[in-house]
Amino acid sequence: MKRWTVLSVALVALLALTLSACAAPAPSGGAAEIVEQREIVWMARTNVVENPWEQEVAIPAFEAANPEITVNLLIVDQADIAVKREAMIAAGEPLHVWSPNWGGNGFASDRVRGLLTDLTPLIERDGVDVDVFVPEVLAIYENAGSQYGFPFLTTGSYMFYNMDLFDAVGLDYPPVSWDDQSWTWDRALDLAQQLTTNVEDPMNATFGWVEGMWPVEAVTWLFDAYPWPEDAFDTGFAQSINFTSENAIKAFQSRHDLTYLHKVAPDAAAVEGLNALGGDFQSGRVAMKTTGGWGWWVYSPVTPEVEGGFCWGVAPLPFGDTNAPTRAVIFTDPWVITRGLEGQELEDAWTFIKYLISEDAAREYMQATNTPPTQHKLLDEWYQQFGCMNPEDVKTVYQGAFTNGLESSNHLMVGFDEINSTWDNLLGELWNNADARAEDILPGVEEALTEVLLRIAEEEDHTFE
Amino acid sequence: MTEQAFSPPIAAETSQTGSRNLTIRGQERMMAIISTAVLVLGLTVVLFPLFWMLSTSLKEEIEALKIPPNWFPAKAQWHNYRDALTFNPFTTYFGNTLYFAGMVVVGEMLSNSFIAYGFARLRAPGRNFLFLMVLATLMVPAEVTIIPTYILFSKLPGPWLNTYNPLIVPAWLGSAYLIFLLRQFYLGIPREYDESAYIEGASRLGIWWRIILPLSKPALGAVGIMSFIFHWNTFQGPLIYINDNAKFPVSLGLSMFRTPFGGTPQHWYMAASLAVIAPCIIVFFVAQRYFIQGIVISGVKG
Amino acid sequence: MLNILPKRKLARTEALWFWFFITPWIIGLILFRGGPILGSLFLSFTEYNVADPPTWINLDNYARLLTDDIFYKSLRVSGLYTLLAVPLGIVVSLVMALMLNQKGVPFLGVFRTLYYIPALIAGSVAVAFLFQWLLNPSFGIFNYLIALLAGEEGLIPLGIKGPRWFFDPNWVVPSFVLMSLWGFGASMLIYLAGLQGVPTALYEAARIDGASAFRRLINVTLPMISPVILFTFITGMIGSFQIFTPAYIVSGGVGGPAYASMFYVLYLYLNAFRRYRFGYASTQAWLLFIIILILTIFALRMSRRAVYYEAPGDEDLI
Repeated sequence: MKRWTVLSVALVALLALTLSACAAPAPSGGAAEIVEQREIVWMARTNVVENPWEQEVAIPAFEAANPEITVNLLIVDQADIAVKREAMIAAGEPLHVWSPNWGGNGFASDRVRGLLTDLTPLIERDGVDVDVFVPEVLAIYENAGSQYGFPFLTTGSYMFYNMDLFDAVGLDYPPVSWDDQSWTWDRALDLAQQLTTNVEDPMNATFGWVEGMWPVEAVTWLFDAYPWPEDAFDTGFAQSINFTSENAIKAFQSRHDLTYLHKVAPDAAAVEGLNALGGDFQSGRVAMKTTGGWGWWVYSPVTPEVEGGFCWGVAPLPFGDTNAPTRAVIFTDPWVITRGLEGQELEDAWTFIKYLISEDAAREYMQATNTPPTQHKLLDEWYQQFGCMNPEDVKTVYQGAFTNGLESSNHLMVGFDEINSTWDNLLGELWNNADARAEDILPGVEEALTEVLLRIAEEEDHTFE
Repeated sequence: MTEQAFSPPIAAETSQTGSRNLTIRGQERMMAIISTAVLVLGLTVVLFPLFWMLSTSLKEEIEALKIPPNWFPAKAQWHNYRDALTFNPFTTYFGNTLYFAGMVVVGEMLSNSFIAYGFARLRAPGRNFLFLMVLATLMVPAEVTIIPTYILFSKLPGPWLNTYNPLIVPAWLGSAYLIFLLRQFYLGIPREYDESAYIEGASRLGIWWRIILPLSKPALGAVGIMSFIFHWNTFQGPLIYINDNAKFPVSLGLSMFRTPFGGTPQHWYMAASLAVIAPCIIVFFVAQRYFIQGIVISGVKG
Repeated sequence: MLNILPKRKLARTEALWFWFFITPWIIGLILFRGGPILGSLFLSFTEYNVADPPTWINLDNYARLLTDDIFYKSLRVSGLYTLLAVPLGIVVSLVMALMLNQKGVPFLGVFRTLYYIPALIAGSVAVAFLFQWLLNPSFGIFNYLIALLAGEEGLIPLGIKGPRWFFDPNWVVPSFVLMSLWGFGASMLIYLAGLQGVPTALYEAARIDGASAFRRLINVTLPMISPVILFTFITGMIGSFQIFTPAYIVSGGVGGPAYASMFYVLYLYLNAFRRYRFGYASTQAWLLFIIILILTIFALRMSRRAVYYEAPGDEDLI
């Protein structure tokens, strides 16, 4: 009898002790804090180059200039950032400055959800000089007269090529001008054929051309077959998408043929294999790769000086059709402020955004990360950073993407995730099956996409004019 | 090695044999030899990923991306370990994780062995229904309770957000998975043991503490190992609740290497991954010593 | 008749003790677990995009689910995966546990530890990437070995070509099953613990009767650890239906090709955290809950005959 009484008392005591013990070490609101100190919460993604900049450069500089504001930095990896962000928003936990294109559904969906603060009144009140921005880039985050965010990083889509492999075969490098009409899909294919060796033995092959444009609809742009309705990127909604025009079919078929007819490109599985082993382009086994412009900074550690490194250059995307007016997909990331902030809280977040877009902060970011800046003045400095290419050429090829490009659908279409999942799933057959024909597959893809697009519009109560 | 060393084998023999012990013993020894050979061969399958991680962790950054890959690094870059573990404050992360996993392990071992005894041994109306409720809590995918749970902890009074409390405190109040596991183990313990103790005047608590717990040492060992390793590596919970970098566990520390568009430094990522699982390997090696057959029964008889 | 009163009283005391022992769980349920679960049930009847408060829409989500093609596809993917992964997982981990429980094997502790290592890293992102490589049709070691052994110019020239694994819709689920089997250590650990509880006296008796090792396995070992096998079966089933991370990483959150890796909970996750349909995702969760609950009750009822419990008087146990 006695023994169990003692035991149960001990157990309850132990439980209580532990409960209070684990509650104890946590910091509470802290009466000792200076009353004036205010806090803003900044959410960023995990990134081995950006994070040191945020922690060691941006925040110390901002806090030195604004001693009454503390910046609380939350770092979450991109695959999981939406989970944390949505939980915080649902619970009304403070979250001030973040970027909508990381995780989740992209900028357009957050705009439609009404999650973003319209910065226009603040810009006008403070007379912020928006002319420092590249106008096309700034306009991406403006909708119906409201500016929802400031871009801090932007890049087009390009062809990255391995200079060492070109030299080995004795080929001239591709041009740098986006207006060079001789730079066609067929010419790129011709180069690719001369550069390709050993395709039957993937582990020792050199692949002429990895076509990795993203989102997948972008390949149609090269062939002058822009598939979206005129106003889709303005409204964020579309009633239909045209994947069955003659040129669209030609575009998808040409991409398929790179692998299965001309055998200059690895198939989807081999691309994934190359990436699982490290990175397709970084491996040094890919002569040309057409893809989004993150290569500018992701490939920057690849130089002839390091073990396994080489010299690389950048060229425009080739013309699939000589009339194609827009070829490049542009990717721009903005900083935004959560809607619903008031008074001092909004002011502090705004102060921080103004700091982030200041010339000094933008320069520090550019220098730390090698990412292209969004402001005119800084671009000239950025062009100097690529050892294997001369700065004039960098400028020509880099800028050409913006006059020959449009922002990506993953930032501007509402419900992009479902759109993307739909075409990726249904196009798999075309990329994985040697005998598949674009003309047989695309009608089905188009039909499924139209259904998805209409459902998204209906869900958001959008009516088409 | 003497014959006795082989006393209670459980190996599958291939043929039916007669009743002579000697033949059986001989076959058992044969089985042990074959098993050893199979186990040694099997190690190549099991350890290949580990070898690969080790090799990558010792390469230079761009060398790690080379195709065809170098099986062994051109020159072993041991400093990768130092670089990876100081790129972010991993010493702090290890400390945080030890605190968190330690608190949870103690809580889960105590609470679940306690709760499971009720479900395994004590009859009451509604017991089956309640047990089904325990299981039911496992059946709602966590993905849809993340947000409601986060809202709950943001509203509850007390320090919850940006602490490990939302993960530690519930662990002291039972976990459905481990309640179920321990209940199954208790059901395998002969009831005569507690009944004779009961007749001798022991209370239910006394039976749990002095009979059931000692008899389920291997099960508790398994629970301890599973709980420790699970929480050492767990990602989702800390992801949601921990904000400050200085409070991160090792799992979030590892995720800090992940960089979009293939910018992840593989050599550091692998070095840090190996460093992070090393304590788990040690914990397992130490704890598996409790898995010795026969201690259960002899412990009572003696 | 005289005995009835004390018996009833005894039963009541026992019931009180039962409640005493499960009190911590009850507290946890009321304070922490029950609320969010009920919350998600509520959300399943609403439209909720996080930015705005939920709006009640009756059974609309349920009706929509029943006409959602992708939902049916995802149910099939997860169902097939469970059907394959659970029994295979039990067999592999049980065999490994038996092998690692033989006293004649030297360095048993070292072997156990090394064989447990895959389970340590099985759930990690690094391993998902590693399997993408190992199973890669062009670069993977699996297909290399298949070609070496049974390819056209292989050891036994059968002309067998390795499958395209994650790139062939028919092979996607088996590929994930293979990946899951590599994490056999978790169940192996449970079986190892279970095997320690088998009274040695039973083996001695069986040996004296001249029972072969195989018979001892069937007649002694398996019945004695059947409660633990039931545990791994039921939790394995619950876990397999909820598998998410490997599919999320391997398919890049797309679920392809041709929805072959659109696992149930992947689709649920995409609806919740990529498409901000938290109400709809909750509906999916509750439908899965009902499916798993029915299967679990069924398994528990079936197990009454198959599972051997030491204690008499537990006949009413589920």
